[in-house]
Parts: sequence; structure tokens; C-alpha cells
Amino acid sequence: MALLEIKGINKVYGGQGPGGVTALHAVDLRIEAGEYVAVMGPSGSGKTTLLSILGAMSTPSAGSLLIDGIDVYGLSQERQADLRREYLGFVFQGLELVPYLTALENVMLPLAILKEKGKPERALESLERVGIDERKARRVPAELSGGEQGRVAIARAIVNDPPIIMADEPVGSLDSATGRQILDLLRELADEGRAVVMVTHNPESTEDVDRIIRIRDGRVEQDSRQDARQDARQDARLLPVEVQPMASLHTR
Amino acid sequence: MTLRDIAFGNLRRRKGKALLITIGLTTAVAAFVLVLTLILSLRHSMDEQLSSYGANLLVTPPQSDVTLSYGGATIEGAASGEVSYLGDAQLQTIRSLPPDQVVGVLPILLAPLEVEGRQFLGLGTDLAQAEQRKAWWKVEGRLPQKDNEVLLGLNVRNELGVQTGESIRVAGQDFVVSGVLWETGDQEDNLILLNLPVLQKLTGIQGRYHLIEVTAARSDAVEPLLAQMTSELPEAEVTALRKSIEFTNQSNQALADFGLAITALIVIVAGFVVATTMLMAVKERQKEIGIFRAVGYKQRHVASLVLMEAAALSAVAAGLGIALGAAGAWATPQLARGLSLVFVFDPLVLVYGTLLAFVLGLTASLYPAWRAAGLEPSLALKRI
Repeated sequence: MALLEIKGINKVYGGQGPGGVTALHAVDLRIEAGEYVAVMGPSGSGKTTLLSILGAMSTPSAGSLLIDGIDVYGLSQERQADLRREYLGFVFQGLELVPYLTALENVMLPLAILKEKGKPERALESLERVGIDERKARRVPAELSGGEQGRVAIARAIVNDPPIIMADEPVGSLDSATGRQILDLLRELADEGRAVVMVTHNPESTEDVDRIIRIRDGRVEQDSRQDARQDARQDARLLPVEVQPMASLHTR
Repeated sequence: MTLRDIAFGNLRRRKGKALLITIGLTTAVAAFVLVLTLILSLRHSMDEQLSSYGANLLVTPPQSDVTLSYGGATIEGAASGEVSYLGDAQLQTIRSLPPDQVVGVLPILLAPLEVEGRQFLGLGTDLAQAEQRKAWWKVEGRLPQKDNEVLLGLNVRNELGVQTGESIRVAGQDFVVSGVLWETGDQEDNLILLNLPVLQKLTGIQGRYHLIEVTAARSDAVEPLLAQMTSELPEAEVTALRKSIEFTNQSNQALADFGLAITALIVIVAGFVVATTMLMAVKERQKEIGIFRAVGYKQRHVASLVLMEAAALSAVAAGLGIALGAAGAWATPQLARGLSLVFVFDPLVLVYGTLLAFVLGLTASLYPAWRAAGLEPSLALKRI
């Protein structure tokens, strides 16, 4: 069973009538745990729409999304939110840290709605993993460099230990050296066994990915694997992430 | 970190909008507290002045025949010669009523008096106290102080053609006119007024009264007094003179209605200010809210964030509004001395003011909260 699977996804904006704009046409995809996938395509090709559907954020006009075998869009809005929190971590374009919260608080953002102890410890652990120490964790984003902000964004994405990471142009706003650090971190996350889906228009960002999906006019134009690199990394995986299914979602 | 920390963090960041909302809510609460306190103060002041409207309760003997009348009371049996009186026992019962409810008790004796071959009605009472209770009394000269002095109603003076300081013969005895009561437009104009002991001596009627006027301390004390006196004086008739009370109540009600109408207008405008400012803030934060939703926040979490902010600002506005409103109500009597207003602050105003701040703040934020909760998580991916 694929970790992430979409079947016959259509997305039409503005209704099904003559005024409607079809952003995705009958897209099928399967993404496995540990895969690092780049979604590429020109502006308006439908790659962000695809990411929003894969990320359980936008209901498709037709078709289904299965995450760990769960029919996501068959769930209620409330349960979709639960699923996003448990299964998905997001790195947004421009990183989108909340400016009035410290780095630590930004990482704790997905935890703020949970009634559990040890939230700061979990967030600090997550920050430590991406190389942000406690001193910098107390700073607001404006007091951090671009690279540090990127690391905080990734720490926020992994604080819940999700099996899937979605990244929307994660290095678009960064210089090349900082961008490289972020891409390396994403690679590491995939090597740990997470599925990483990255939308990008920059070919340089795809150097380390396992698979490139090219979208044009809402259709998958090309789906190519960079198998040799993937195989090499597959062998080198030391700490695969275990997907812990949400019983409540499975037994819906 | 909790949702509350996020809500407070956002308020600190968007100080301008937070200030605008606080000003709107504070204005509404301050206006409400000011008007409510002024209404209560006016009501209290008018109650304080209730005694100046005269008696509120009249105690008379049971009536059967009508010949003499005064102050709405009729003196029975004068024609038949069978006159009923109230006695000292009844007077004592009335004087033992709670002093915080009764501010004046005037026993009154009436008697026909012959002056120069003409009949007039004589009234004997404590004239000094009567003058205090009857704010409309204006005396030319002075009240009788000696046993041989009388006060004349204007019509009596005109009929007799006497002046202050001149002597007249009343019921066979010589009296000096110490003063004349200016025209009241009422029955007092036709009276010869004497101190009670003087009339008692003149008529030989001791310890008996035709009526007893009672002045209540407050308008809300009249009905309980009426009930108590009716029960304790079964042999007498007790009547409430509601004219002054109704006048007081009507004036109070008109003022209260006017004040509350103005306050309602201010509250509505403030509600719009809060709602539109909150909506603008939600619009500005679309992407941020999209991110919250993307990382797993449910619609109720997002709505809670907006409502927590509204609650925090409501709390600040409640404190400021109550302080400003109370200060305004305190300053009003100082600024408008002609109002003869006494500042009264009821602790319940604190409760009502706080309630208003929260009800208004939260109600006006319901629609913005609903809009925020309805935002799609995919907004996090949009280029806004």
C-alpha cells in the first residue's frame, strides 16, 4: 500500500459549467514512504493545486486521495484537520513563520491545540535536529538569518513526526547557499523514511530528489525516477520513520 | 504555548486595530455606565426631594358625611354635629413607623372660625414643619410664633382687607396677622392657619385630629407604608396621594428612556466598529489562518483565537469604560450645579458594564470568527 495515493483527481475552479477552469485532469499518483519527489512545471500548470490536494487542504472536484489507506476527502473537516496534524508536515513558500512568535513558539504551533505535557521539550528537540540551539529558539523570525528561518520552518514541519512532508517552493526566497542547506535537510527527512513532496520550478532544486513529476496544463506530462541515486540511498537508510496509523481515522 | 498565547501575541503585533476595537468598546461601556449612573443618581436625588412635593399619605377617620374638605380629605359629620377624629393613639402609631421611611408627620385639626361675622376654615398644625414639607408655601411676613398670631390664606386676607401686623378678632379672641401665605391656587388660600396648640385651645379639642399627613422618605417606600398603616390603623382610612410619586416616576422614566436610547445608539455604532475592524484583521491574516488550518487547527480553534482576542479587549474596555463612565457621572453634578444631583454609584453598574463589554465584544466578533473559521487551509499555499 502506497503511503500517498491519488486516483483520477480532477480539479475545476469556478464550477463545472462553461466558465470553469480545469486545473487538474484525471491525475493518478502513488508515492511511497522514503520517496523524495519533486513536482515541476511552469506557472499555472497546476502544481500548487496538486500539492494542496495531496496536502488534504483542497477538496478535488473528482477522484480520491488515500493517505496510509485512508480516504481523506471522505472524512469530515474536523477529521481532515486531525489527519493533517498527524500525517503531514508543511514547509511553505516564503517559509511563513508567524512573525510575532519566537522560533520555539513557531515550532510549537501545531502542538498548541494539544492538551499534553512536554510540548516545549518536543519543539526544542525538533529545533536541535535542524541545528537551532536554545538561545536562537528564543528569537523571533526577524532576528534570525534566512537559513535559520528555513531550519525553523522544517523543525515546525517535523515536530509532530509526520510521515509525509509537503514543501512548496521551499528555497524560492533564499540565496543558493541557504537554499542548499534546506534541500539537504529535506533529503535527510526522506532518507529517514518520510515521503517528501516538493513543488519547485527550479531544476537545481531537484538534484537530490528520487523522482520528478512534470505537470503541464493540469496533466502529468512526465514521471521519472532517478533510480540509481534512490537505490543507493535506500540502502543507507538508518532510521526509517514508522507510520503510526490513526486508529480513529481508520475506523471511521 | 496555548491558543491564548497566540491570541495575545497577535494583539501585541496589531496594536492599531486592538486600540481601535478597545476605543469602540470603551466608548460603549463608558456611555452605558455614565447614563445608568446618572439615571440612578437622578432617581436618588428626586427621591431625596420627594418630601418637597408634600404628603404622600393621608390618614383620616372613616367618612360618612361631607361638609368640610382640605387636601383631598373630607371632614365628616360637621353638618350633623357628629364629628369623627383621629386620636393620639393613631398619631403615636404613625410616629413609630421606621424613620428611614417616614420623614414627616403632620397632625391637622380643622375647625370653622368666625371672623368679623364671617365663617372661615381654620387649620391647626405644626406650621414650621408644614412649611418645610410644602415647598410651594411662600410666606409674606413670617409664620406665627406666639399664641396670639395667625397666618392668613390670600383669599382670607383679601376678604378681610387686613395687612401683616394688623389685628383681627377670631372666635372672640384677638390675634395679630403675622404673615400671609402667597397664592397657592389651592385650598390653603381660603384658610386661617394657626399652630396646633393654639387652635386646640381656641376650640377646646385636645388630642384629636381630623387628618394626619405623612411624608414618605422615598417613592418606593409609599406602597409598603400604605400597607403597614392600613394594617396597623384599622379604624382609620389611609390614602396614598400618588400624584407626586407618579410625577417622579414619569420624569425618571422619560430620562431613563432618553438616556438608554442614546446609549443603545452608541452601543450599535461601537458594535459595527468592532465587527468591521475584526473583519479587516481576519482578512489581513488570511494566509496566517490558512497556515494554522494546514498544521491541523480545526475551525473551532481558529474561531477561538478570534474570540479570545475579542474577550481580552473586552476585559480591558470593561475596566476603562467603567472608570471613565463613573468619572463622568461623578463630574456631572460638579459641572452642572443647577441640576442638584447627588452622585450615587451602584456596584451593580460594575456587573452590568462588564457584561456589556463582553456581550458586545463577543457578539460583534461572532461573524468575523465565523468567517475566519471558514477559511480554507489551502490559503497557506496562495500567493497573497
